[in-house]
Amino acid sequence: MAWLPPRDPAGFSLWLCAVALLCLGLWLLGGGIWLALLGGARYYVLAGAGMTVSALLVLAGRESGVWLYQGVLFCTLIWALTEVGNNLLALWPRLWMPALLGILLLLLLPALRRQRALRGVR
Amino acid sequence: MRGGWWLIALPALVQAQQSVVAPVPPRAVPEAVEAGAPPAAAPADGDWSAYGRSNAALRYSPLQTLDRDNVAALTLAWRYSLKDMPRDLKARWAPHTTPLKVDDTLYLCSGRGSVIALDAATGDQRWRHDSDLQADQFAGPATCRGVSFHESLGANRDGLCRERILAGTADGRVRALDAASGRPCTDFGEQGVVTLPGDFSGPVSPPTLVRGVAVTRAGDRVVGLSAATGRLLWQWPPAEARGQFAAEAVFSADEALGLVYVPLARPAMLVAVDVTSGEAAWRFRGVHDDVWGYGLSAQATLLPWPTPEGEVPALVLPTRQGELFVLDRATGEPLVPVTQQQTPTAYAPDGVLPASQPVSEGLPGPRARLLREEDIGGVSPVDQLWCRIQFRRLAYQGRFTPPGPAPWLQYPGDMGGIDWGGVSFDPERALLVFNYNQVPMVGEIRDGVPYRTPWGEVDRLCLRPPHGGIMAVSTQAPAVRWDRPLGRAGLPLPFGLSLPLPGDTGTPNQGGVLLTASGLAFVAATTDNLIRALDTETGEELWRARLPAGGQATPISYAVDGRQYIALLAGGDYRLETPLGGELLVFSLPE
Repeated sequence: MAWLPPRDPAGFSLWLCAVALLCLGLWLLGGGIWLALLGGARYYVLAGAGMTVSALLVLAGRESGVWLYQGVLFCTLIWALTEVGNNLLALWPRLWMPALLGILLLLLLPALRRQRALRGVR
Repeated sequence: MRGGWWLIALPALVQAQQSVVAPVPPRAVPEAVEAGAPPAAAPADGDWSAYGRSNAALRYSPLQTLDRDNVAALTLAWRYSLKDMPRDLKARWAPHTTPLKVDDTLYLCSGRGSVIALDAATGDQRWRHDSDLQADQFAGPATCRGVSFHESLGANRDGLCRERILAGTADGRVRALDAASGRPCTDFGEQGVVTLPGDFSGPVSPPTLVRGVAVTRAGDRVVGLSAATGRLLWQWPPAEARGQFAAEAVFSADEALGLVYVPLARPAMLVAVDVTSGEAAWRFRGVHDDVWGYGLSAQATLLPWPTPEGEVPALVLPTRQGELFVLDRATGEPLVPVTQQQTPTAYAPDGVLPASQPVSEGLPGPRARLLREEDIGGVSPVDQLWCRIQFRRLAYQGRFTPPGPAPWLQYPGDMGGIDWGGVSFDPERALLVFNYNQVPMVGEIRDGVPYRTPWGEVDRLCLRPPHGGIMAVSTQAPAVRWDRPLGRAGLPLPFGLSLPLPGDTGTPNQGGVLLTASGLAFVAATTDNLIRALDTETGEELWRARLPAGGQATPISYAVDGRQYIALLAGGDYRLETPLGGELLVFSLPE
């Protein structure tokens, strides 16, 4: 388990990404429950749960976290398109941050695999 | 300098003042009613003789040298720095100044109230009368919308002041200065200064000159002064009705009818005041029981309105709600039917709100649509979720959502719709052109008074863009000719950053539109510190230039020796958080 930040730059970046994703996920999960109770959109609960689980998996050194998050990202894209259509100005705040995290996680996938090889985690 | 500055409880802050106006018999007849049309009623082609070019406030110049084909070559001809922004006035700095141009001279004021005359072709300073006001003498914002030009008949003892500049000050005085030399007009008031009755606060507007009478706001009333002597001719309303009145907008006037059109901020009502008697000829309510801050802030624009019986002298009254009321200039009767729209009734600080509000149903306008949760924007999912939670918790019942004990959402906010920039009218193309805002605000009751702040930050609103636009409405067969976002903000990123985009996303804006006979619409107003030239018929952008400060003012056009100029004061606005400054920029084609 890699709950503490690794010392190598790539591993540290991966840890930072996962922690950022965890924070985002927890906020979307908590705030999303609040919003859903107020009668608002339920997307945030689902996205928040998906992001939280993904982040925990990545922190645990599991590659499946990255792929689960790519699935969450794809669902986010579909949700954003159904909500606001192809309005770029409205899509932007919904997508850029989740997409950025998704790209960073993909780029850091080799670091995750190296960590896993070092630690012998499956 | 964030949301808090939108708080609107300024009128309460004024200091008491002693009136030194000599008592005069009421209902005095104005001295010199001039033969021929005065400059403010009929400007020369190359002039800009009153705030809206003339008292009709069309903001339309008949000049044609600059046209759709050559406007792209427009460059800066000269600039003049006013250098008059005291450090302690910065928190309330919003000059909003529109200069005048008469013969070969530009006349303008600074936000602090200095009056300046410049050579209109070169920008050389002709004279300057410096303001001695300090920041603590400003009860409201440091705003000076402009000065007025008056041509007085009859010889003056010292040979000065046949042509004079009348300028208001933020401490409730009116000054008369000789247009050629800048020296005080000794025959006006006491050594060129009249101290107005009433407690003054709010923006300084230029007096409106009709039939030799200078009509201006004085605290809770409107007064008519003799433009020649400064004598107080009349006050409106009569003493027993004062107290509940406040006017912020610039007035317009009809010289032939002898009526001045006074948009009141409180109550939200347009009053036509007879300039000879000082009595109200008619009144029109733009908003019933205004608890939203929708007081009338825009100048009424005078135009002919087509009816089955022919053209009728009319005026267009724009509102912060986005309505465009069309009224008969002589009687105040609506020429476009006004219907009463049902609105939610509920708690109000001083009683129960009316169940209906007037709507100008026959004319399209920038009316606010009903907001839904999907309309929420923000920077990222982090703040978007918070905005959504707020949206579900705020009281919101669409237009005219009544203030209540719990915080509520108000859309549009108290900066419009259409705010003090007003509307402009192209008589050739029969087009009304105006910029407008789409800024939602959150309201709450504090000490029994409703307060409003933008929902989110001014540049980070919870509502997705556009937050402002510009629209052209045809008056022939009332319909929207074109409508587009105005101002570029790019795609928002955290920490106040943004990713530039080539097109306009639509920003909040303050300031009006200049139209020219050649079919150009010049507008600054936006928070991107640009001035643009648009095609009046299509809205297409033909030219733009960067400004050294926020362009929250209305540009003008004038000509000297056949050369056409575009002038704009870049002064900024503390409420829109644009860069503050004080520079007059004058553009023309290279020689």
